[in-house]
Amino acid sequence: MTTFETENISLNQIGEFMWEIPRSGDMLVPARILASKKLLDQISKDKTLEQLKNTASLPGIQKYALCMPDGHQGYGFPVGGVVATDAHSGCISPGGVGYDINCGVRMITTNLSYKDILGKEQSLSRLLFDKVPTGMGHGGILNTSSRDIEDILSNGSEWALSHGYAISKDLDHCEDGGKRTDADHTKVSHKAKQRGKNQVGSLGSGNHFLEVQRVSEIFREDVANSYGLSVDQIVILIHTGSRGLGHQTCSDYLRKIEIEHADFLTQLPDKELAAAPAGSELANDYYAAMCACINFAWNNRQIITYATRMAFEEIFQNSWENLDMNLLYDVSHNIAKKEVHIIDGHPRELFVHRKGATRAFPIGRSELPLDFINVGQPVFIPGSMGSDSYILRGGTKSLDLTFGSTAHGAGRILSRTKAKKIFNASEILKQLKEKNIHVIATSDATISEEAPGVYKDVSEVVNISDFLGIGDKVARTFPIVNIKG
Amino acid sequence: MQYHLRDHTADIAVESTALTLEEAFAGIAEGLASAHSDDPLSGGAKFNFTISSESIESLLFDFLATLIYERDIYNVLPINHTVQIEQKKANWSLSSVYHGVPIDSIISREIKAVTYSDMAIERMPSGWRIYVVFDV
Repeated sequence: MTTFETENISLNQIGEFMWEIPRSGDMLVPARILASKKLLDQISKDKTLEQLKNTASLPGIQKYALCMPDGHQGYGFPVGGVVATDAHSGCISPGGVGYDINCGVRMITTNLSYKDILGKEQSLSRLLFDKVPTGMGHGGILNTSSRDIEDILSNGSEWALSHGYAISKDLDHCEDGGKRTDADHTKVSHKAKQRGKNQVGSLGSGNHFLEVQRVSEIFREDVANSYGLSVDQIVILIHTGSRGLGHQTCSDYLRKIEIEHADFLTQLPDKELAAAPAGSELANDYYAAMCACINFAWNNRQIITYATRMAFEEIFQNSWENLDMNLLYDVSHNIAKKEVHIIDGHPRELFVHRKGATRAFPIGRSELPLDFINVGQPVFIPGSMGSDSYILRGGTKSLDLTFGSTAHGAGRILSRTKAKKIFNASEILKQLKEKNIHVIATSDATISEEAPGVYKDVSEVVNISDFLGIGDKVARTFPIVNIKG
Repeated sequence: MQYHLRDHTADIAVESTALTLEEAFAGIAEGLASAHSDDPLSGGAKFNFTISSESIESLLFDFLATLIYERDIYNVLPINHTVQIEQKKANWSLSSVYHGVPIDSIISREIKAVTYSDMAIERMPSGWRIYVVFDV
């Protein structure tokens, strides 16, 4: 058997691109890493494997703890982690969702082709940067009242629909129809709501972005046709989450769990693994609050979609409807959802925690919109700034191997502090402009920290996903315009 | 008091060392401000708050979380921190005074949240050392 050894952890190769840390010590189940040897070399350099092992000790965990090919160190859970716990006898962990609840990605398609955008890249990037607040302290596209925030927390994208910022089809093509019905805004703190009031329709910073891309290659013609994709087509990718409202909610509940379940926490190897027992009042409260934050994030991405449509109308002097600016799909990569999966031959309701991992449901799964039930769920894997992104389709093996999940991005290999020392923002922008990629950011620090060299090779992550059958490659895209905080 | 930004794969870590616990807390807060912006930071109106927690680690978490919350509410970046800490049996309390630099007067990026990940509060021969990881 092929093994991979680190200082403290030994992994067995159990299949092509599949490695396992056998159960030992406090682990209740084994831990699995989906990676090539090269990616595993990178993954083993930080605390990812140790954190993955720790998640395998969560009460009620099923089958195995998982790390996707883009995995890297997080807090408590590794980023790229997928952990499923029994929804009735297990636990739910805010750390398994992350601070940015429902950070996720959506893609908008258009009937524009690359030649339509040539000569307009600069003006489009400037207009998008003007219309969509990025970074910190620049407010949101909309000014909202406290009542609005409560409505958004309760109704998600339905709020955008009822206020003229969405059409019905936008909700049809959003995970869960853009609304978690389990949301309860009263479980979200006043502090969180205060933070959210000024951030409705905002990108934030870090690795969040709005990117105009062109489809450069199609891998599966039939699926691409179903998704409305073709070579040279212009598409738009939006990556952001629940902003300060979600961050505050995660912090609030970490502290509540810490106080209420102090004894339980002492048994966990890491405080960020703080979890509430399934069925407890606190678990129910967190789930309801998390669902409300999920709604906030969907509405946030919908409002940004509206602003993007308005920007395109202005640049192309045509209505967004005539430009066929339609939502292909919106999917989260920081979330915990109650889902039914087969465990030992029987259906069981689980909390599936995806932290930096994307749901990737295959053909036939009932949660999918009607348009995709016979195709499989779209998945978006952004690459690093200035590089390819990918569109995948939920693979037929995903339910069996990964609780219906795949990767969410390229995964970092270089710290932000090191990146700032190595990469000069002006140089990076100049190099990107030579490739006709126009980037505007609020802060030079973001440009350096998000430089192409700081991430893993996204095509390797995607090829592994495709090989394993958890996310099939459908198309590749290349950036033209990118705005970030 | 000294602080440094430290390497972390995806996020930012701050380490502070100081003679007293209060100065070490203040050092982490200055490091948090530095993580937001490379601009020289000065000026701003005075702000203050008081919190209490059940342990020194949770006090630190709550202190930094409150600074991030007030950053968003008042649209200021907290700098020039003065911290007083008091412990009475199992209860820790902290009074904070800082100056808030208006966010729209600087180029900055967002730090999302404080985490417990790898958090360390250690008494050293020369004083105190604190280490905190922030989510970017």
